[in-house]
Amino acid sequence: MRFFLLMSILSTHNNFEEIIFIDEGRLLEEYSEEEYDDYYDHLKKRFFGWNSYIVEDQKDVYFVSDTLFSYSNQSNESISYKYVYETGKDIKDSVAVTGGISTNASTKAKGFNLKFDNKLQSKISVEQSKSITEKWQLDIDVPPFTKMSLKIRGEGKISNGVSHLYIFFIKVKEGGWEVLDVTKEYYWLVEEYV
Amino acid sequence: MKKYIVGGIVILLVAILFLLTNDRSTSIFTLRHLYSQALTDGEFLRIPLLVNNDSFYTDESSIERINLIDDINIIPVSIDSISKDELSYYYGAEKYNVYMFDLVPEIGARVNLLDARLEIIYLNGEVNRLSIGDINIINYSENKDLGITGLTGIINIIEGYETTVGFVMGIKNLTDSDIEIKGFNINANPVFVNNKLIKEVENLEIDMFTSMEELIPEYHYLLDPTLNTSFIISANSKKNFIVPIVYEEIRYLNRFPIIIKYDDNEFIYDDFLFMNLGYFPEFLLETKRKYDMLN
Repeated sequence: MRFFLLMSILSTHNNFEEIIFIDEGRLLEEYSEEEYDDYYDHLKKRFFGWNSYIVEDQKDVYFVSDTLFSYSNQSNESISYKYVYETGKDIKDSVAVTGGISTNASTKAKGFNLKFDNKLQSKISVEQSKSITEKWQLDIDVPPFTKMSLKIRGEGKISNGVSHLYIFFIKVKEGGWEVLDVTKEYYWLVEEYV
Repeated sequence: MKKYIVGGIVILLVAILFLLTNDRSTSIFTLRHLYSQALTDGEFLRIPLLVNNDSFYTDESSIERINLIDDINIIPVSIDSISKDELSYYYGAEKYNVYMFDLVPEIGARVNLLDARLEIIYLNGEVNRLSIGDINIINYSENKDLGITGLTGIINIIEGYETTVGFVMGIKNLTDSDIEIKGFNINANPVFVNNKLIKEVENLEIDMFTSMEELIPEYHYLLDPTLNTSFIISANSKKNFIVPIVYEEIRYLNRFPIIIKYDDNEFIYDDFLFMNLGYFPEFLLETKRKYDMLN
């Protein structure tokens, strides 16, 4: 018996344009409903608390993130632009969940903490604080009639799977979750004509 | 009687074991970083230290003053802040927290300290000198003669270090007369530019992980640095360059300013963060130094 139906809307990591597995692997958004059911079958009933099944465990990925800034100078003089960036605040580890899972109470799933709460949410993507903090203040002059953009790409590790929450052996929540742990970030500056 | 003696010995051993396992004397780890920044108002130098417990060694109120020193120079710094990062590391079974010392050098000139030490003088008279790597600082100044139209680092792995071995840069001459580019400098001693091998390229779209030898066949990371080059950029036009970086000694170079000598002037491009692998990439762990404190 399910207290909450699996929602068909799938989650994404909103921070990242594209995530590519270095070897094989699948993102949470690629699970079919049948696969969700197969994975749920791995979960045994518990008296109380969460039970999780890990589908992808710390798989290496490349990611292309959104542009960090883009500034267009449409005048005929260069314009000074001050950009302050703190890694770990602007680009953060990403958590995505589906189904009845949200992110405020906690469960442990093999090597990382994933936080869930009691709210039913069909789609949520939240950010976790990240620890490779570097503060960077960049003073740049944007040349006339030029648009400058700061881009980022990187590497990380993805884990995903499904979970059930039981209370007195009764399943009260279920859903999928995914954690992207960013390990490397690379930056570059590109010109785009106005 | 015998059982009381045995019992006493057991209690004594347990007490000794308890004292040994609860030895919370402070230990600090440092790694050899290469710091290279162009500081502007409000900017600071962030120096991470790994410390195994919260003690007065990382408490700002117990510090009288801090200097950056090498064998010759003493550069006083003011403390912007000392904060504890949420990240922690384990060395054996012992947990270490990351404390970030955000410091502002109290000197307006260019600073180059090889094998620098962080000298912390405490109010109780204790002094610690912690090896932190190499420090290179210049002051940023604005210049409107040139404009940078693109910048990508070339990232290769050398001697096991993932590091920047060059960069691709677009430069626009914003003046109404021709200018001569005479040299590039990154102020990141002991890492330098080899100006002799700078190559002009049509466009900037070069993948950052391309081998430097593929881009410039004569390149080797241990080549000597050279200071001078000569490229003319016509008025209001631009050129793109691949600038190779050479190493006197291997370092992890991820952030640095670019100083361009042109005609009789200098253009400073603010330090650019080419990559971020965290404070303590695995290949840097071989440079770790451990300091056991008195308390």
